[in-house]
Amino acid sequence: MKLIAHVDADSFYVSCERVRSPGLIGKPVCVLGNQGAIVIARSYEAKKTGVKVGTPVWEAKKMYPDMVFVKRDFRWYSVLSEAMQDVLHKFSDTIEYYSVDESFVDLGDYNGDVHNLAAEIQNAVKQNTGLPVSVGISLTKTLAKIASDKNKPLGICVVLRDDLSLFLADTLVSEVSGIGVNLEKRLTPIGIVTARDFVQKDRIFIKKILNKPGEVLWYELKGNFVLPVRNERPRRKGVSRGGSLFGAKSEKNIVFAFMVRNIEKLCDALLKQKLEIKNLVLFLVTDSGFFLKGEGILLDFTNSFSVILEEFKAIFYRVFSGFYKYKGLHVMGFNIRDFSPKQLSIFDFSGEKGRKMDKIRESVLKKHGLFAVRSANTAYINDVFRDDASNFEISDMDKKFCF
Amino acid sequence: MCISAFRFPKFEFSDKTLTENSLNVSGDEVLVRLVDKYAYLPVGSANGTFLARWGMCLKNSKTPLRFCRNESLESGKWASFSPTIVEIPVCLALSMGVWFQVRKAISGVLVENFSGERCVFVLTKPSTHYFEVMTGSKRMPVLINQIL
Repeated sequence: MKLIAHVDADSFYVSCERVRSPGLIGKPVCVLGNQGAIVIARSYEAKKTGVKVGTPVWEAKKMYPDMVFVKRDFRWYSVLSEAMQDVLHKFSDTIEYYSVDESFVDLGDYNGDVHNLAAEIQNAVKQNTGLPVSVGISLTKTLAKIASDKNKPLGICVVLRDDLSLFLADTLVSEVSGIGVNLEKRLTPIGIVTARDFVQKDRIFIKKILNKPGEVLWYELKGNFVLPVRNERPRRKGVSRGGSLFGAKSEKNIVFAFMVRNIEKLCDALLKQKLEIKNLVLFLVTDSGFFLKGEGILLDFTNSFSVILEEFKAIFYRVFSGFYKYKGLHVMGFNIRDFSPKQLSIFDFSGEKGRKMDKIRESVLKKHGLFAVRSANTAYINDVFRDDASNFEISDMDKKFCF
Repeated sequence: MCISAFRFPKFEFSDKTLTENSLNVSGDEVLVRLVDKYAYLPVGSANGTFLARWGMCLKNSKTPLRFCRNESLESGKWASFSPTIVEIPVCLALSMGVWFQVRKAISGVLVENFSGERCVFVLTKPSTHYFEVMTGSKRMPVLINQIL
C-alpha cells in the first residue's frame, strides 16, 4: 500500500527560538516581523491568549502583559529547516520540501505498523533537531496534510482506506488545503460542508464548479493518488526580492541603496539556481500604500549583476519621485530560463570591466556568502547590513517549494 | 525609563543569596523591577556571576539613578567613578510594557558607591528603528551580540 507522510513542525518559528533559548519553553512567545511591529508567529501558549498572526505588538502586550516578544531570525530557522530535511531523508529518498516548516515524504509501499512509523519520524526529528512535529500519514498528499493538522501539537494521525469515510465526515471542507474561505462560501450553499460531502458529489459536477484543481482534490480525498511527491522544485515564473525600507524614506540615495541591496539578493538567487532573466520590474511602495511600477527589458538573458543593475538604475530614475515617502520596494525578474554560457555579442552591455567585476564578485560571494562584498551604492544603509537577521529573508531559502 | 524590569535565571544563585537580597523569585527566574527598593542585577565576571545593586542614589536624591547613557560615558562624565564595563546576563527585559528576549546579556557600568558597595548601571543608547517600533521607547539598552 503506497503511503505518504506529511511532517509539519509545530509552531515552527517559536520552536526554533526555543531550541537555542530553552528559557522560552512554557512561556507565551510571539515572534515579530522585521519591523518589530507585527506578530508573525505564536507559541501555543500565546495562541490561547487570543493573539493572532498580524496582531500589532502594542495590542498583543495588552492582551497578555507577560507575553515575550522575539525578533525573527530566518537564517537560524533555515538551518533547522534543512536539518529537518536531513532527518526525513533517512526515511525516504523522495522528499518534497514544501515550505520552511513542512514536508511530504513518499514512504512507498509500506506494510509495517504505520503508527509506529509516524512515531519514529516524530522522535527522529525531535532528537536530531529539537523541533516538535506533527505527522500525518495517508494514501495521498491531500489526506496526509489534513491528517497532520488534526492533533497538533505533537500529533500523530494515520488515515488508511478503512478509516477514510469517518475521517472525511469529521473534516470540514475548509480544512482541505486548496479550498480557501471564498471557495467554502461557494460550496456551503450547495450542501458541501464536510470533505465527505465533497467526495459524494459527482466528479463532473465538482470539475464544473472548481475546474481541474477541484477534480484533483476530489480524487485525492477519495484516496486515489494523483499528486506526486516532487523532489525537485518546479521552476518559478519569476524571482523577486524586496521588502521594508525600515521606516518611511524619501532620500533618493537611501531608496536607491535599498534597491541595489535587493538586486544583489536577486542576482545571488539567480546564480545559486543557475537561472537568467530578461524582463525586469521595479515596485516602489509609498507610505500611503500606493505602488509606483517601472519595467524594463534586457537586451539578452543574463544573471550578471552589473548588467541587471544598469537596467534597474534606468527604471529607478524613470519611476522615483521625491514627492513621496517610501516604505518598501520590490525588484523582480521575469521571463526566466536556465543559465547557458553564450558568446559575447557586439551589443554586450557590461563590457570587459563589468564582466571582470562580476567574476570577482561571484567568486567572493561563493566563498564568503552574500554581502561579503557589495556595491558602494549601498553605503548609505550600512546599519541595515550590520543586522544579520535582516540580511536573510525567508525568500532566500531557495530549495523549498512555497512560502 | 527605557527598561522597567528584568528577568534572569535563578540557577546561578543560592536560595540564601536570593532571600538575603529580597529578590522576587518566580519559577526558575528572578524578577527585578525598577520600582523595587532593593533591586539587584547579575553581573558577569571572570570569577563567575555576582549580584550588584542596580543603580545608586546620588547626593540630595531619594530616587536612585539606574541608567547610564552611552553618550555621557563616552564623553568622560563618569570618569570620576572609575567605571568598568560589564555584562549583565539577564534573559528578558521589559520596556514600555513589552517583554523582549535578551539572547546573551546587556551592557552595564559597574562602579563603587560612597560606602564601597558595588553598583551596576544599565548602559543605554538611542533606540534603533526596530526597538522604537516594538516598544515605543526612544532609548534602549546596549545589547551584547544581539541587534534589535
